[in-house]
Amino acid sequence: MKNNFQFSRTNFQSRTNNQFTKIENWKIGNSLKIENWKLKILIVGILLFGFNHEIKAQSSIRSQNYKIDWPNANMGAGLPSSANYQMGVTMGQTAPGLYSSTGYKIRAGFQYIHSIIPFSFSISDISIDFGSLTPGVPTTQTNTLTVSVGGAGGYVVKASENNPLKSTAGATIPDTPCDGGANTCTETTAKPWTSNSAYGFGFNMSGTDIPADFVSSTYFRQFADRSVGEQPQTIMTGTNVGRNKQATVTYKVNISSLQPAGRYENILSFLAIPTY
Amino acid sequence: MKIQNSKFKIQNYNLKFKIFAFCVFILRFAFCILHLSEAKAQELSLSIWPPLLEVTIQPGKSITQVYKLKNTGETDLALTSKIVPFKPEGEKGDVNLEFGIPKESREAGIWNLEFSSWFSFQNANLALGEKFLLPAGQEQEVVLKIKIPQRAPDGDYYFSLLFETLPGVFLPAGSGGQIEAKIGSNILLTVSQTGEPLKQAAVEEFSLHNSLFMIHDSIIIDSFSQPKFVVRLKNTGQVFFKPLGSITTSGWFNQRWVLDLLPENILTNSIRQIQCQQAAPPQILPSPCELRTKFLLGKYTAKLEFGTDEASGKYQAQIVFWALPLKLAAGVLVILALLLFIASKISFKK
Repeated sequence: MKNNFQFSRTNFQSRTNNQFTKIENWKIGNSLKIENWKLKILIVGILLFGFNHEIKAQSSIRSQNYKIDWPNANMGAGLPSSANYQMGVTMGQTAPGLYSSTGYKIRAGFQYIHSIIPFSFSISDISIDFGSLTPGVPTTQTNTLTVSVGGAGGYVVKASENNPLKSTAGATIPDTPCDGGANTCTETTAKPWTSNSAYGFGFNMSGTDIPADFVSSTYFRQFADRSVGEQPQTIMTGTNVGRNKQATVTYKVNISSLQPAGRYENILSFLAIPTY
Repeated sequence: MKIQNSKFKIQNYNLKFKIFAFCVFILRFAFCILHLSEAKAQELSLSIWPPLLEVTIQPGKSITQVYKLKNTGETDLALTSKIVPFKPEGEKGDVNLEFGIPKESREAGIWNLEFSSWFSFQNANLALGEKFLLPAGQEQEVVLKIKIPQRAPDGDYYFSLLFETLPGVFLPAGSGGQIEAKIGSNILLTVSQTGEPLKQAAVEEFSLHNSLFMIHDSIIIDSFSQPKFVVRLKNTGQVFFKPLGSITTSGWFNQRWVLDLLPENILTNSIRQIQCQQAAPPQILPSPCELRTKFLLGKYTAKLEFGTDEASGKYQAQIVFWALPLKLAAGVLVILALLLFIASKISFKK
């Protein structure tokens, strides 16, 4: 291939009398050139787009009807039952006298809600990365919590931490007292945290069904610290049936110049549970 | 010489292309690496059904219930399960989960019943408390078996079935936190030999939220405000129940309004603020117990009647209130006072 190409160029430039040969060779050479370009474009294309190996998870489950399909299947799927009693969704009292024969009465779901849409809970990201922390420069990250109450009467979301942010060497970034003094926040009360000389780790809430003490984006709370026996605290609560109730958690951390170097981490726990 | 020069040009041309292709490859590879290390949001999403299970059962009997747990997110999840007892918290149906041994249970010796042994999964490949993987978009059916020991005393037992993610899969590159999510479903368990345990209630409060003041035993509200009732009921019996009943308001001119109570569970030794029903076919929605009126005038009587798990008038409470156009009257008085003041100024000048 290389020889043909060189030969044609040679013939073209040497202007021999054999026009046919010259033109033929030139054609051959030119076609080789074009093919070569196609090949090159193909190679460049592969290089450009061939490494896009992002795998998309199946997202078709988010259709409008999805949440209805599942419970319907549940209704008609022949749920486990005993010889005398078939279980499933019962919306009222079971027949009188049944108890004495079977020894139980059972009711799944809420009596007054004729819906069997599941209760669902989503968190937009399963890790919070503050990156490298700079003393005196607060860093924030956000997360969105979404609750669809479905067939439940209401719900509550509670938050806690296993311990304050801790390094492998055992140093900790304490939970923030917010601005301190009259503006000292706790795990149950949000207070303003605007001072860059106030250090620690805390969170703010905004959106639907959040506690009233998160007056604005400058109000923060500590996470309930389970390592010292603090109980998880309510950060979202609603009494009405509804879909996609959303709230944003803004995590904030600010360290002093005395904070030992290291990678600090903890585990933040969010519990979503329907009311009874 | 020309041929050699041409060859050199061609070789040079190929070399340039190779360099160009190599650069493209390196840049693309670097982009891929950066793209992969980029902190990409990993959403976590779980759903569960049913959200509530109510069981009345004799000691020695057992039942099973299917739970549907679905990973509706785009990330595979490692999960585990547990049964945790709870106590009612507040007056709106919230739960206070009691991780560890509840003090009261320990003192009462109930813990000795080892309630954890009452619960198990009937799945062939999954046990309660065992770790399992739930791939993105997949559903797990969990068959919960509840077996009550023969010696279990009659009474109510409240639990939550929790499914929780196991942290540690996606560690932040810098300082930060890992997220652990838990989703639960409540179980209200009544252990009863007869199936008809004692259900008792008391009206803790029946009042008007928007009363202005009281004269003797009569509540005064403004004619233009919509009467909003506060209903707080206490469970003084041994087992949970739902109040079935209504608030009936009647006036001087035979007007009559009926608000049906929402049948919400009231657990033992707890108080619950009861809402009313709002019809929203095909279902009923919770709604404040509020009369949708535009103008009221005169004396009204509101009567609360309900039964425990049966529609009856076993429990009753009543309030009397007067609706008067006080704000309108106040406005008229202010205007009259202003007019009198202006009139007196004018007459003084004359």
